[in-house]
Amino acid sequence: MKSLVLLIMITLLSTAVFADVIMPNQKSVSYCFTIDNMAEYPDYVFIMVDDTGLGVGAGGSPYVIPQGECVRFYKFRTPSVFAMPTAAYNEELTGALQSGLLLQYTSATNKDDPLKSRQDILHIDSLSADSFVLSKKSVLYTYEDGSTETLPYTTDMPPTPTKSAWHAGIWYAVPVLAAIGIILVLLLRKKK
Amino acid sequence: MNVLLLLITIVVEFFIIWLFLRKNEWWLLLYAVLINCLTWPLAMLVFSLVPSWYLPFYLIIELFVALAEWPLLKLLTRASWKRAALIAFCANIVTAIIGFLLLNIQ
Repeated sequence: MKSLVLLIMITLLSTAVFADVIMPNQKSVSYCFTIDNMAEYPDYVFIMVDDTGLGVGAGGSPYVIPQGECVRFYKFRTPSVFAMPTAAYNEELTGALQSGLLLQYTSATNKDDPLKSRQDILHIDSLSADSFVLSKKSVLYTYEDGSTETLPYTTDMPPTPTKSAWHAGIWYAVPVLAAIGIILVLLLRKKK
Repeated sequence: MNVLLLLITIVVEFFIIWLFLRKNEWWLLLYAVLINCLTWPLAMLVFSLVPSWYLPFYLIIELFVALAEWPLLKLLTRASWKRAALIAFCANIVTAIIGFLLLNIQ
């Protein structure tokens, strides 16, 4: 019994190192975000902060977003964006306005998926002395064949990429058909 | 690759079911196809929700797959509950090992 417990513990602990490794039948999908109308607010700095751990702009260390940059962050983090007047900028972010938007993404997909990268396009809806509203406007998907498509956000979740949707659809249909097959077999048997 | 993995799973599970029951090969093959076409894509879908490879999660999913296949095997093959459980767990232990090896040598 003791050796079983030990074996389970070793398995759980030793495999923790896999947490940052992409599953072998998967590939990584790169992710970044841009703010499309930062230029309209030249008197403000926009800062990405992730106080949850490692990565760019993480651990409480603010990352000032350069104009036009597609910003990347570590996949397990959920940073948010702050804004504050350039003249008042300080690393403690005293007086900074936080947008309610938390950013996150899934970094891996199936190897057969034609998706290569995802870029979220954020938009500043309003920014004043006491309010900062940032929203997800659209997502730019880039596929392995070099083609791209831009889809608008309609909910908080990213829109489904058109090419991946077909691929995923097949795998949704298979279990449904199998379930129908099982029911048919059982019904036919009952009739006999 | 997904189709290949599914086919391998079906063939292996069919062979294990046949080893235990040794009757109506074509029906057993049909059952293996139906059961795996039901559970395998769902298991893969759950895997895809995880951002990275994590062995305990893989094992937990395999355990749930075996638990889901147990009553299906019981209903379809008309084996006893005990025997259906044995088949489900043996089949999924073998396919989990094969799946793990295949996924890691890619």
